[in-house]
Amino acid sequence: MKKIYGLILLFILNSNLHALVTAGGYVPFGPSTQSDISGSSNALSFDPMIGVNSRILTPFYHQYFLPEFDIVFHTGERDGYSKRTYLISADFGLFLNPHLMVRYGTSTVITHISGDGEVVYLNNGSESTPFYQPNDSSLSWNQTVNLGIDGVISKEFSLRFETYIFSLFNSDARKVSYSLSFLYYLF
Amino acid sequence: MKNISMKSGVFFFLFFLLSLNMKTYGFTLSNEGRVSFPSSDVGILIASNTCSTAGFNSPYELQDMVRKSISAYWNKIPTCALELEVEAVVSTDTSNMTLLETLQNTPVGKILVGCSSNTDTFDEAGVLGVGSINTASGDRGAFLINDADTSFANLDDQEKLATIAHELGHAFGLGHSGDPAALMYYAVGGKVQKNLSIDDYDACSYLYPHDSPVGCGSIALIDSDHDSFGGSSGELSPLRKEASVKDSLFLSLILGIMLSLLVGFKFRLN
Repeated sequence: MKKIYGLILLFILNSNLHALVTAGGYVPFGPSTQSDISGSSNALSFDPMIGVNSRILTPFYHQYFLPEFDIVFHTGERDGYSKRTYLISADFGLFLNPHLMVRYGTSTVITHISGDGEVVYLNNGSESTPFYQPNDSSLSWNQTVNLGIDGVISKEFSLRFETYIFSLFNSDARKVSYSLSFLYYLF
Repeated sequence: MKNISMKSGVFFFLFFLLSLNMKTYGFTLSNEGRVSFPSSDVGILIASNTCSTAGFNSPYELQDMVRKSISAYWNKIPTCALELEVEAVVSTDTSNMTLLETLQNTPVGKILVGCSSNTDTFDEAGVLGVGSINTASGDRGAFLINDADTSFANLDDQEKLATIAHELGHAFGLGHSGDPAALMYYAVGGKVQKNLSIDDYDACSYLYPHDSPVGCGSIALIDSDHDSFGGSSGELSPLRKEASVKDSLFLSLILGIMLSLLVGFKFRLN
């Protein structure tokens, strides 16, 4: 606990600390998933994402530490279950010029799916049969490698595009999610 | 004034972005409720009989197609821990078995794949296959391809792969989906199944979630009554959840710092 207080104190005393809020859209596994019966992909199916983060200058060669917590609210009508995605990120950023920062780091992505366990009747061959919807909750954990860019629009706003690479070392399951969001500087 | 128009622009852009996703999802589980294999590594066995009416001249042709099917669909989901692997052709002959008889002949912890011309199981034209999971006396799954008529043989290769993956979905615990784009939708006709849909991703991730990457080291903190993560309940105990979040935060931080140092050194050397 002392370590946590120490870290908080360090952040507060850091003169190069900025607090930000994030709002934008997150596309889970966009090009790798199918959106309709013709086989089109979900490349532009943005789900709302909000988050809080900060920007702290580190002693590591003028890089900024960019810790962040985001929640993704998956839209679309979900019959019988709900889904949330939480991202706990530890990115670092380096300004290439005053208007452009590259970011790189890692996130823990937690996918939460839960349901009430209703029974629904769905087509099965030529008849309808009962099927069960999810009746409890499930958490799936993933570690991602992140790459992205921040474009500084004004003193208060930045526009960020970030990619999250899942299962980097598994060629079958390696997939990319991405987000496009605005960052607003609170101070 | 400039600041107000900037904020309005941002809100308008966000609203536009989010209006792009208006889909409907709805996966279900098997008609036994939430049942799944206790391990996420599940072996698939192939029955030894040939399925000439369904278009397979040897069990090895079926084995090859099952292998392609799992590689094209279920083994591609990063948020799902399930790893299907085709193991071997076994001596079981399913050529006239019902699905229940096939399940009874399946070793515990495995999925048996075969074909059958049994007219009780395939009593109507157009049914391509049947699959199920059974946990009555050990977890086992099975599916049968319709060898009673040529409806399976008449499919193109992509439809065959999708049909096999669909029945495999039943064999590891999934039910049908209400999303027509989903692999687990009840029909394959009239659609192109290039990929899984988000609904299929959610279904597999719900039944076979990935464990916390570093949570295993916290054995002393686990409440033994709730240690079923990744199994049939998937609920984390409060103690385990706390340990996992802490561990994951720590891991994120360490990996982030390592990446940062690497980039820092690179720029310094340049």
